[in-house]
Amino acid sequence: MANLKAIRKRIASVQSTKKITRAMNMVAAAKLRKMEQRLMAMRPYADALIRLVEKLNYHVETAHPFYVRRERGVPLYVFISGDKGLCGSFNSNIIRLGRDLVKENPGAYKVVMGKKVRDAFRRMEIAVEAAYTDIFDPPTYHVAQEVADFLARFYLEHEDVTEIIIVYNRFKNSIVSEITQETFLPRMREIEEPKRIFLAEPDMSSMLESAMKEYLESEMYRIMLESLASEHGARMTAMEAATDNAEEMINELVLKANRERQSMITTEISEIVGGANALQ
Amino acid sequence: MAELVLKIVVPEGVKAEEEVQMLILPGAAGEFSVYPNHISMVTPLNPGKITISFSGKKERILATSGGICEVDPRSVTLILRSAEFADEIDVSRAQKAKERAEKRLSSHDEEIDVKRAQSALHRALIRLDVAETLSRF
Repeated sequence: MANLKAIRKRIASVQSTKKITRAMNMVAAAKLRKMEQRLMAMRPYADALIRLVEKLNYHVETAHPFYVRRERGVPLYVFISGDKGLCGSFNSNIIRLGRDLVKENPGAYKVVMGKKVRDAFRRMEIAVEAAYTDIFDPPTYHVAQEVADFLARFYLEHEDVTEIIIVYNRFKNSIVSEITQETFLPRMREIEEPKRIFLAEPDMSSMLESAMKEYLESEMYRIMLESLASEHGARMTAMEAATDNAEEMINELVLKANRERQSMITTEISEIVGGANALQ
Repeated sequence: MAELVLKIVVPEGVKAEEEVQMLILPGAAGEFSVYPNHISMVTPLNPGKITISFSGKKERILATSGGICEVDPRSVTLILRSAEFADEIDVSRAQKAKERAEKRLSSHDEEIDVKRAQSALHRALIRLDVAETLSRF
C-alpha cells in the first residue's frame, strides 16, 4: 500500500515538472521568434552604416586606426554566455572554449558578458578587464553601446592588443547555433567602391569617426542578439527533451503503479479465498 | 519636378522608403533643407525634428534622437538611432520623461548625471513638440 502511494506521489511530481518544462519550452520558442525578427530588422541599418564607413575610409588620407593591423602583441577575448541556465550546453561550451583559449594565450586580455561565464571565470580565478551582466532581459542598445565604446577605447589605449576576438554562439537557425570566434577589431575592408567626391560636414575624418562608432555599436548589438537567439534556441531544445523525458518517466511509473495495484488486488483475493477456505 | 528617394533606417528596421520632394533636417550647425540634385554629402544629425514634404503640399514630421545623414543628388539615406512619426509618439510617456528629467535637474543632487538628464529633457521636449504638430492640422 505504502509503495503504491509513493509511486502515485512521484507521478504527480513528475507531471508538474513536465508542465513547467513545457511552459519554458513555449516561452523560449516565442522569445526566439522575437529575436529572429529583431535580427532581420536591424540588417538594413548595419548595412547602411558599413557602406558609409567604407566609403568615408576611401576619402581620408590615412586609414582609420581600426583598419590597420598590428604585428606584435596579444589578443583580447570577449566571451559571451547567457545570464541564465537551463539551456543545454549553450553556456558550458563557451566556458570550456574560454578556459582553453585562456590557457593557450596566458597574456591575453579578457572581457566577459553574461552571468554564467563571469561566475565560471571567477571560480577558475581568471581575472578579467571588464564584466557585463544582467544584459539580456531585455537586450538594450544602450548596453551594446557601452561595451562597443569600451572595446574601441581599450584597443586605442593598448597598443599591445593585436585584435579583439568575440567568442559567442552565432545563430544559424532555431536548432543549430555554432560557437564562433569573430574579429571585432581591426576591421577588414569588405566593399570595394570607386572613389566619389563629396562633401562632409564638418570634415571627412570626424565623420568617419562617428560613423565607425555607430557601426561598432550596431555590430555589438547584433552579436548580443545572435547570442540571445541561440540561447533561446538551446533552451527550447533542452526543454523539449526534458518534457519528452518526463513523459517517458510518467509512462513507466504508471505501468509500475498498475502492476503494484494488480498485485495488491491479487493478494487481497487470495487472502479472502484463503480465509473462506479456512472457515469451511 | 525631380524627386528624391528618401530612406530612413533605424536599428528596428526600415522606417521609410519613399519618394519625397524636400526635407528639413536638424544638422549639427542648425537646420538645413535638402532638395533634389543636392551635392553628395555626409553630415551628422542632432536630436530634433525632421520635416518631410511630399508632392501636393503633404507633410510628415518625425522626432529623432540623432544620427547620420547621407545625401546624394537623387537619394537621401538617414541612419538614425531612433525615429518616430508624430502619430506614433506616446504623449503621456514623453510628458512623464520630461517631468522626470526636470525633477532630476532641479534636485541639485551631486549624484545625478546632469548631461544625461539634459539630453533626456531635450529628447522629451522634441517628442512633445513633434506630437503637437498633429493637432495643428
